[in-house]
Amino acid sequence: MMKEIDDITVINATAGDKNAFQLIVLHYAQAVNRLAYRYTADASYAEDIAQETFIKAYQAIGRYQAQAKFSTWLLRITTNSAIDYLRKANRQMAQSLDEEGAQLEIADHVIDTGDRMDLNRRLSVALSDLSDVERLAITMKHHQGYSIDETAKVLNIKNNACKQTIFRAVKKLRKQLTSEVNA
Amino acid sequence: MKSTDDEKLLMIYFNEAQQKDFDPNLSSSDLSGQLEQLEADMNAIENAQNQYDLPEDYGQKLWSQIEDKIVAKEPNQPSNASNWLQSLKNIFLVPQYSLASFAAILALVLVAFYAGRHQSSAVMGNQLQEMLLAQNIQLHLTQSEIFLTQVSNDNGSYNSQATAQRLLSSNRIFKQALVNHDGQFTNQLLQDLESVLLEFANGRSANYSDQIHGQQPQVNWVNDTKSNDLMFQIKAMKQKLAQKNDII
Repeated sequence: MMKEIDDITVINATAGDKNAFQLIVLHYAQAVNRLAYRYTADASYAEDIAQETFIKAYQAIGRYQAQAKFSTWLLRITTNSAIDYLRKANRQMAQSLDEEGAQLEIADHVIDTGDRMDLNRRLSVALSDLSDVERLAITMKHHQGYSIDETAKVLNIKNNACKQTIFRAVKKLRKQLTSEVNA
Repeated sequence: MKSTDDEKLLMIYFNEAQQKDFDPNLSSSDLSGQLEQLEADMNAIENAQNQYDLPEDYGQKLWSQIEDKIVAKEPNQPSNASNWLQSLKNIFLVPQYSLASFAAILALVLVAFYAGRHQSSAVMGNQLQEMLLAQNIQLHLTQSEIFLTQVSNDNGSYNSQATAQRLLSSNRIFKQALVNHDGQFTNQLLQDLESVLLEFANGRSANYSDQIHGQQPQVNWVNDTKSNDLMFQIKAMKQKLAQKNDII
């Protein structure tokens, strides 16, 4: 579980203290980048999203309300930044989100088990092979604990489409695990 | 297992299953086994994502990259007042500070209430006192005006002595009351009126009209030599007091 920064630092930052905000950046930089990487499977994208997240957070910190954990608030900004970034990056994302109930083909592309890649490596490749919307949906649901309703709303798709998307993502990833067992 | 069952299994794992998803097929003995396998797979996926390494000083590096951009984009703070309120609200929501903050605010409110009450009661008391005095002096001047009109028009039948004595008493009381107020002009008028009332109170009743209208105050507050008789002064003072509702 992520360790929260102390409340006084957050309060000082909400009052416009730049030094306090610097402490927040130092404390949460890794967590934000890691989450951005989960969403994008791309280190350079994650770097850009992390920067964008903290700039947005600095601009909006006056509106932060202490009822929610600060990390929850910050990681929500990260999620939104990642979605915006991927939309702008004009990857499959825009098309996937705009096509209601889009049924993407499940890739039969199975990574060659004979190439001596270890399981983690192969899973990482499999994650990067997911479509953006699949990766976003599975990360939001599994890692960030969003509900199906919330995930669908943020991704601007219907609930059933969201369930299908998550299901497809899990199926693709498990396929790598299965092939490891079978290999 | 069919893919629909896999989907239901996943929804059960994610705690998103509806009641209808718990069909007999999924209630079988191997359901828990399938859930365990799914959990193991999800953990493996989670671990794979955790392999992503970042340098120890990544936070500092990130800060140096965004510091300039942050300076260029100052926070969108709606207003100083609302920001201050938000900060105060946030302080109250911090558990270890909420009680102390609440106690401090409560103490401030009590002090402000006590100080405000004393200050306002003193100010209000003075204002109210002056207002009441002005209204009473108006009434006294009206009575004096009626009295002087009656005695000036009287042919000797009007018993003026008792009324003059009563008005003289009132006049002295009001003069005394004016000591604590800045009522220079009012005080001068009452002084002039007293000398007239004193003569009537002592039984003098002859040639009233000449006496009253011939009265020449030592200080004429309207500074108008043509309108300086006592009756005019009384009327003018009544008007002033009615308009301003305080002592002049």
